[in-house]
Amino acid sequence: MTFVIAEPCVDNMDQSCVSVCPVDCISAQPGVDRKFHIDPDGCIECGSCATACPNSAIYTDAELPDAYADYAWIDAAWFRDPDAARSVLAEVLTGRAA
Amino acid sequence: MSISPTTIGRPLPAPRGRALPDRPTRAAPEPNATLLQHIDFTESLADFHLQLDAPLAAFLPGQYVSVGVIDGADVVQRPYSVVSLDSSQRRIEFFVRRIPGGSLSSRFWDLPAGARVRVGPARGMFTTQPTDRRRLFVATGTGLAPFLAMLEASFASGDKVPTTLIHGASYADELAYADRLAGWVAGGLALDYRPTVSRSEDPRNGNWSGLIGRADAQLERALAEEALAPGETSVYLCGNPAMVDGCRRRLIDAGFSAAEIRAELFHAPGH
Repeated sequence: MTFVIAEPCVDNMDQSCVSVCPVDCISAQPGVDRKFHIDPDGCIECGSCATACPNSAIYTDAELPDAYADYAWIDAAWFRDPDAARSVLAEVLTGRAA
Repeated sequence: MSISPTTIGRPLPAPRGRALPDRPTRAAPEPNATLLQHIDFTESLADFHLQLDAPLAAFLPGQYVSVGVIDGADVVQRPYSVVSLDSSQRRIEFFVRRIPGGSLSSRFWDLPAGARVRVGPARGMFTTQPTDRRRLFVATGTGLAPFLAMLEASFASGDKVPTTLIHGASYADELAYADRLAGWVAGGLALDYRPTVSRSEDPRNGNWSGLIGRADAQLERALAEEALAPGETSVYLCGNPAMVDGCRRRLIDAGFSAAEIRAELFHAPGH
């Protein structure tokens, strides 16, 4: 299991999650990214981020609503190829707007 | 968990047919602390003492750190609330429950003195706010840990804010740190310490003559006291999620606002 940051984070990026993560596995590039990302290889499932998030943006991957299913991939991909993750996020958000 | 290049543990849906990119190689983290000793309260509860290589920066009483045991290229990490950090900011103490089959606690328990481990930065927002209001602390099990750090700071600073501490445990021998708390009270700390055991009929509690019942039952008694009224009391809850959720609901029903209640949940995901 891991936690995933979903769409309610987009363009909000409160950062409370970053300040409570004990293993520093939540990241974003300032000025570039529109959301934070949780590294599934670093997450220790403590749940501190989900408790701290004022936007209720963070779910366990098992509880991720279907509408946010792509965000598990986006978070995992961001730590491997950030541009690929950003590209998919843009497609997801474009799909919402269409 | 793994810090080495790995894949996550389940198939991910690949948006629009994309495969998950390869993971860049990362170096395993270096150890930065030495295990000094652990003092066992019971077979499954102990007080761990570690010496950090460098001072723990910007620690606030009530916060936690990750503690990791390095296993080859991997490190198994879990968060633990700090019980105490000495004035050098290098000697640090944790209250640890050994979880059968737990990926970290079992390894941690079996380490010899002198073993090297990794301790992360101080994190968390479960800290006391400067106030003259009374404080009510409610803890179950190892949820006592952040309160010990807060109370030690209060004792050291001469803080006179009246504080009530309810500590619930299944067994009397799990009511750890009672001597330390008593010492602070004898030294002038304005603490009303209320330990309680839930399994009062168990032979293991045969010599217990103090409060009985779960922590939430003692909260109910405390709420009947005029001194612990909403608007005059800040409440801090720490321990298992069921206790925290139940106490929070009861406090809201009793008239406390959400802002008067702070909580820290102790999950045990594979500890």
